Amino acid sequence: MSLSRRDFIKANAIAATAAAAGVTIPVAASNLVTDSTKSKIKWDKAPCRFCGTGCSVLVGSQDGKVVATQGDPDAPVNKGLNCIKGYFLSKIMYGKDRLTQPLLRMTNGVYDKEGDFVPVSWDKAFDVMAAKFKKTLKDKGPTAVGMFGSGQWTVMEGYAAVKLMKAGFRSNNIDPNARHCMASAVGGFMRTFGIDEPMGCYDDFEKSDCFVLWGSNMAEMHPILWTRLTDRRLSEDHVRVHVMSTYKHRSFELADNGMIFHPNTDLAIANYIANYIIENDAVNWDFVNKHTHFKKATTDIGYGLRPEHKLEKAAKNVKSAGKIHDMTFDEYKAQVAEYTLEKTVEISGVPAQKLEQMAKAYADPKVKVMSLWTMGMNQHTRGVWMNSLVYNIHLLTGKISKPGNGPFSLTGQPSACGTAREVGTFSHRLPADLVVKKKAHRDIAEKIWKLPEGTIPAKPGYHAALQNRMLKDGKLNAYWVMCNNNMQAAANINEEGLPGYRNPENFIVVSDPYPTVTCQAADLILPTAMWVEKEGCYGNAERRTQHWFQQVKAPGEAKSDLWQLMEFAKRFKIEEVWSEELLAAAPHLRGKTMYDVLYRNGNVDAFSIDEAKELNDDANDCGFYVQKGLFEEYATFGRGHGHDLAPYEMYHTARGLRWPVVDGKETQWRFKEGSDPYVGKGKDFEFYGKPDGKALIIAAPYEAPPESPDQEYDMWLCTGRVLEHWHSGSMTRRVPELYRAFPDAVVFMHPDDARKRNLRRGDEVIVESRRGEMKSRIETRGRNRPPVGLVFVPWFDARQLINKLTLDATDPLSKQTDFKKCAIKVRKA
Amino acid sequence: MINLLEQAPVHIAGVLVKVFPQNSEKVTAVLNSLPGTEVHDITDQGAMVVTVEATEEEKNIVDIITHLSTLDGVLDASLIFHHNDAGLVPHQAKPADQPINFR
Repeated sequence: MSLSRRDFIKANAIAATAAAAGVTIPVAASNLVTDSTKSKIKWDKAPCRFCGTGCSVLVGSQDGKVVATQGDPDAPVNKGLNCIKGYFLSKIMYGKDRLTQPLLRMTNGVYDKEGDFVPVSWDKAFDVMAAKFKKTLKDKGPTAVGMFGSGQWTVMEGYAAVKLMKAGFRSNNIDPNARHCMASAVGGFMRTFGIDEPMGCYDDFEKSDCFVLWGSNMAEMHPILWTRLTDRRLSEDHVRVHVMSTYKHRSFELADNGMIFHPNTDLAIANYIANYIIENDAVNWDFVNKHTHFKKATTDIGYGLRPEHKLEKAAKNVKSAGKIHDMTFDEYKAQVAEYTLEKTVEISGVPAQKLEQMAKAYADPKVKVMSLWTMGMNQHTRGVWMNSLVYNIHLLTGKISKPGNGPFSLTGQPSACGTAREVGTFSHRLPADLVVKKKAHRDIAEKIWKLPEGTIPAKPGYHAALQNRMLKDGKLNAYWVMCNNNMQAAANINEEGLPGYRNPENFIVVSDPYPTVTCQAADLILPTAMWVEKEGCYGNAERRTQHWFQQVKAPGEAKSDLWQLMEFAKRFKIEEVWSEELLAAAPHLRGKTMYDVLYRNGNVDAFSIDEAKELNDDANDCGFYVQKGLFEEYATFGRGHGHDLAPYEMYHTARGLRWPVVDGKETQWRFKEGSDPYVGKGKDFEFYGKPDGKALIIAAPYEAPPESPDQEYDMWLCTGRVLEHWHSGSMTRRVPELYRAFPDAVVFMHPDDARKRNLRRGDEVIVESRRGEMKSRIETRGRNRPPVGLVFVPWFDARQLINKLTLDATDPLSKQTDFKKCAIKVRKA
Repeated sequence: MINLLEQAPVHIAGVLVKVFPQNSEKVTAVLNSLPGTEVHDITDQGAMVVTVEATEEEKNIVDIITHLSTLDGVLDASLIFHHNDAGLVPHQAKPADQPINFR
């Protein structure tokens, strides 16, 4: 049989697709893709660089460049599939404007905040940077030094950064961009279960009877998981899909029950479902009595705005916002009884029959339900409450920690779980759910790190929103932004972010592979190696830790975040960062550099370079297997404490393992006897994050959002993502195919709203809030269909900075910003 | 698969499209009418084996896939296989030629 090359490639396309569809087509085409003998391409695995799903991809490199990627057929997460972004991963490193040398703002060869960016050597960059940090430390102390990190850092980078900030500089002012995406989820887990991250796993997708999306648009944001969910719906007739959102989107196509609710009223809907369960005698009393307590949240807690804001002054319980109070079941019942069907219809705008249909599914003991959510629930000024309200539903019915049954918090970043949450790169945290304010926890960290007692400060540092405010107020002056694009990502950049970065008192360093908006607002830009240009680990949403080796070298002088952190640490004698009092407790550390104290401590440098791969720039620069040393020291925190990670080598070949990994065995469902080794014998379920093993059902009411449309600013603004772009677009906008597929952000608007404003599809408009304005174009058709009164604008577009408009209100408990609701108006440009 | 090293440009994708089985005929007809798009097989559960090829009128495969994934009746479209040997074209997102307008 003679095939033309085109036919041959097409036959391969059909064969691969048919295999994924579960049908066999008799084609001679073999999987030539990974047959390296034919293509001379070297293949190795890596987790995808984008979202928190954690797909494994096979990365093909040749002549020092990544030339191909494909879905990893051996990966349990994605089973050989890739979404459209994942398919173009090979191109993210090769944008023409890749940064290859440090750039410093200078005038006449000298650093000048008002100067232009000029290429400098790493030596010069670190000289200026170290001088600025040293001066700040001397003048104002450790609280004036800070770092904004990332859920895209590797586990080791996040860990090295925590040590540098909390133990080296002795500042807790380190927070990750995961504060913008997962902080409310963390808050919900800690309050309800006392331990972070989902109990269930992706295996639930193939075992569930009913899926409920709380605000999530999985079809565009988590396409591979959506494929698994879709497969389940199509393969079993009885399976149902409920989708809730504040506007209609692609996930509604599969929905058996699609519901549009008014912003913030998910609080009422969750309470209504709890009420329905109680009213219809569907409480699983055996489970509730054995495994739960009823509690009540403190209400009227403000909106995380600046203390002088009128809403903060008006709120009664800002100071005691986190307190929870005992409550009996009868009191709980009375509180949720307020949320009758009639009242909930009135608050939410969702028709009665639709709400009832969903409540029935939760209440039916025979129906296995999986609840799914991401930013809709987390980017919410009552996000922690909202997370707990959904847990309440699952706890009342005992639908938790069982195959196909459970609440599942999806994740936005590749290592928001693995790095930001598990390593604890938050301003209040330490590794493995430890917190800085507890002496016993600080003791553990200091002991593992071989540092004197009292090294880590007890007071939590500035969280994300507070960092921008403190920069503006001149209290945070030496600041390092790494592996994120916060000037585009954070809310209210006109009033807080930009004035903070450009405050003449401050020195701002940004490490990134590309010249992002944040880089342009900085004083020093450091060129950064990305993804498979270094060795690392990510942790996905189902507690799966995945490892990859370095596969190519970074371009020019670009260096990994890890190298940057460690090299910078070499610039400080420990006497320059620690007090005399602390040094007196550890005289043997005198004269050493911060690098020696933190990373040459006998743990991090315990493994020989011979164990590392030949291509491992970070290890070669250190002279020891630095990634393994950091990983193993970090793993000490969690082993034996419910966060067990496997030995480093196990991850080299496994397509990830879900912690706790005990005796080489991963855990699928936590808190359930037989599946989770930490559950005591005969306990059936044990929520061991809490001292008595019981989870909390925490009552919380509906409360209004801080800003709603009024006569002048008459519409809701909701921001988010689109399928083709990931977050701020700094990577995906440099892939020609993805860029062309969705080049510019648009304002998705209902046709009636457009008509009212004399606007037609494609018209140029000004979108304006009390804080700023932006020019864009109107889209009345397409994938997103908002109801009257709401617009949706994606935030990937650097030329359309929608966060000039958004409000920096946060959940007072999680400190996570609400990017989903503020008041705006739209007029013709 | 993206193979950026070969020279002669061939640009084909295999796409797994999911539909409710009752809609499969209707969607098949629409898909077959799109430029460079061909339906090869459909399972009883509504999984369709589709290839998409760059053509004269539509050169950007992603546009075709994006378009077909937003068609009425299409539940999900996953790119399974991709071959593009048109070469690695360095690309720059537009914004760098103009300063960011913060205000």
